[in-house]
Amino acid sequence: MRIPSRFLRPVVQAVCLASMAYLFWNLQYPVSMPVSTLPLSVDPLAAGAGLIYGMRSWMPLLALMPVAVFLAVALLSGRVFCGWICPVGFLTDLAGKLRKSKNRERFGYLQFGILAAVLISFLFAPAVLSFLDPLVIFQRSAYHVWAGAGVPIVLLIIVAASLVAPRLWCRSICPLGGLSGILSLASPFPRRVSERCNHCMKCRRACTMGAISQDNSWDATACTKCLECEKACPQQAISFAPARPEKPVVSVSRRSFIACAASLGLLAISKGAASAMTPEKSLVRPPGSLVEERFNAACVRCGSCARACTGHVIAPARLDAGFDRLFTPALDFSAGACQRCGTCGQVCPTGTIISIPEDQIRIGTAELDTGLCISWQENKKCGICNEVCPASAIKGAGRLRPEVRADLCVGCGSCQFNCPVEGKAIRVAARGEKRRT
Amino acid sequence: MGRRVFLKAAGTAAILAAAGTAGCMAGKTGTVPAPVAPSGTPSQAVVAGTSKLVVASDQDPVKVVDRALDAYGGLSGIVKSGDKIVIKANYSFARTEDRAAANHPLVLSRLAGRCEEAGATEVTVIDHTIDSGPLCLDRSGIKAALGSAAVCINSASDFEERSVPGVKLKSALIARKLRDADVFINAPVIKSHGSTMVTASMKNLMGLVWDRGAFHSNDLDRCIVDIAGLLKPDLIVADAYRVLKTGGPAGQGEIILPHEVIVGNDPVAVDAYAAGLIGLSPGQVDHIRLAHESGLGEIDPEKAGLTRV
Repeated sequence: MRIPSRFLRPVVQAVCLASMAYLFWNLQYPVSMPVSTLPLSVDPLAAGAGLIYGMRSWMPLLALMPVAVFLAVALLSGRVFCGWICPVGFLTDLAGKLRKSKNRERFGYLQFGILAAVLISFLFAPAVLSFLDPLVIFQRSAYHVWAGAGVPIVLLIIVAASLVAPRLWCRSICPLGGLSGILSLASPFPRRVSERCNHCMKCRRACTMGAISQDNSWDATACTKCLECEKACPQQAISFAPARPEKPVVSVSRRSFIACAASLGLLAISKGAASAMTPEKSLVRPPGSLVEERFNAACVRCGSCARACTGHVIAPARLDAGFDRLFTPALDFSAGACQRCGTCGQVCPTGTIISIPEDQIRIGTAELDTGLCISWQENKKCGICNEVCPASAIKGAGRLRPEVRADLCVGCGSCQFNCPVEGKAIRVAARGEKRRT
Repeated sequence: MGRRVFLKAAGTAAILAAAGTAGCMAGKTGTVPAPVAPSGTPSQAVVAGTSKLVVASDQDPVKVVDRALDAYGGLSGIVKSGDKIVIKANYSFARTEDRAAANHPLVLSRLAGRCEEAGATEVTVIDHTIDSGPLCLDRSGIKAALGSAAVCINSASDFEERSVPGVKLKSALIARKLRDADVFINAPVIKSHGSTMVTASMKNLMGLVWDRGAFHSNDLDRCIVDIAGLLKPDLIVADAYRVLKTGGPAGQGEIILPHEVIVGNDPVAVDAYAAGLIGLSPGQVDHIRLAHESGLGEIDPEKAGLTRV
């Protein structure tokens, strides 16, 4: 029985991409757990960050189920995730079709070097996933497109790399692919070549991952089981029938070490440079956030919380917050107010934000500028800050001049959002915020 | 070979199943049917001497609505068979039911039920909420009681510019749904209010306005009266089953339980009675006094023919 259709894989990939885009779009109150968060909860790297920075508020075992499925699939059938499911992989496949590059090098040393570097730096700052984890990159790109909040640069670079060589990023950089690749070594579905093979090497040319070398040997850590080689073989000599996996020959190359060291160095330098360039400006963070330093280290900048926010108040930080904090979630009270619903904490894949009880939420403190307030300046009977305050933190109603009771204020920003004065007479600052350590 | 095919089929099935699940979930977002046949003509203003005011009291939030409407003479003269009804309720804040910041869900659902019994084909309960719409509907218990009949009009496209024959207000962005309805019922919940002392039927109309910040930076009381001069409900059914006596409109504050529903056609009379529940004399409340002076209604509930049942 031959392969059904050459369209099978692209169709599956397209369905997966559409499903993930749909799940992103569907990420809104009330969030249907655990389905809505699946795109990131299957990710073992993001889950690792969750383990370090605070488990989900719901059952930890259940939270790790999707990861277990991901790992089991990789152990059983290798990098099928890369070849059939990954939305970034699909886009690189499409771009790769635009230009026929002859490059078939594997770049395994680079991939494993980078994986090692990611795992090491991960212990200090999972934020490294923000530009290296394909699922995080896809989620953030979806946010970019949905919110019209800019160009998904990282995704575009990855896709453009496919023009240089097909799936260049997937075979040389992607740490999630590298991780699956290592697990692939245990897969009982190796590529086998029968004696019908006449060494025409059409399989090598068909393989976009560089998994088949010039001497027709096969690299289990690269193969995505896309089955293009099987289809390309005129002799029908290739099969992926079950077999005992070969004992892997682990030879850690010097090049891998160099790649790892170089990536670590690069990460450290860029981190140092980014921190040095970060301005002092304090950002107001969602409720249940980690303290600033740990926040910036743990947040993978996926944009999930900003998408899910019921108050439309969470917006990714822009460059003016510093490169180090670019795209981390901050509260923008000109766009909305925090409803203290806890949805952001529910959808955060790393535990940077968690849902905490409403009565423990303290995001910041409102400050009234009496010089701008129309009740103070023009004796206007406005009182909207008092009206919308959920914490009864505004003293003075009716014709009386409002004052903030800092001891009661939770910093939700309802007052700032609803203040009719241009430039806002009442504003929330991070002062008095409560964060997790 | 067989196993390979099996694995591929199984993988594909799993992915399609996942996509299918996702697809099924797409169906859950309900759409509001597009209303047609705008009538747009506001019913006539209350003419002196025609004010009707009924106050019913009952421990049961369903029965109290029935008693009030029955004593008023039923809905037969107001709702005709085939009518589209819009009920402006108040669930502007995402507070739990026990905080009395929104209408009692059963009062509201009974009112909607009575409209349907009177022959209405479509009853829509609306509010332009201050807090997040889905949260307001969930926490107030109104979604549980009314389902998809209760909606939030929280997008600028839900509003249209209309000119206002007011003193301060010359134009405002008003809910489109109002123009599309045959009958407009104003169903406020009675609460104390930080800025206007009491919120009842006239203050409730602000939830039909998009740019209400302009009210606050202008002259709040005058703007409320101006909008009350434009938006005249066919019936007012004010919910005083629970009343947030202090700390309104958002709470937290003292909650009293008059277990009353006020039905009337005169917004000033209804609001004057409501002010009394908070412990205020209507003349103390600027927007009620201004409305009375502008000829919008009778400020003395007794003169408005107050009937208690």
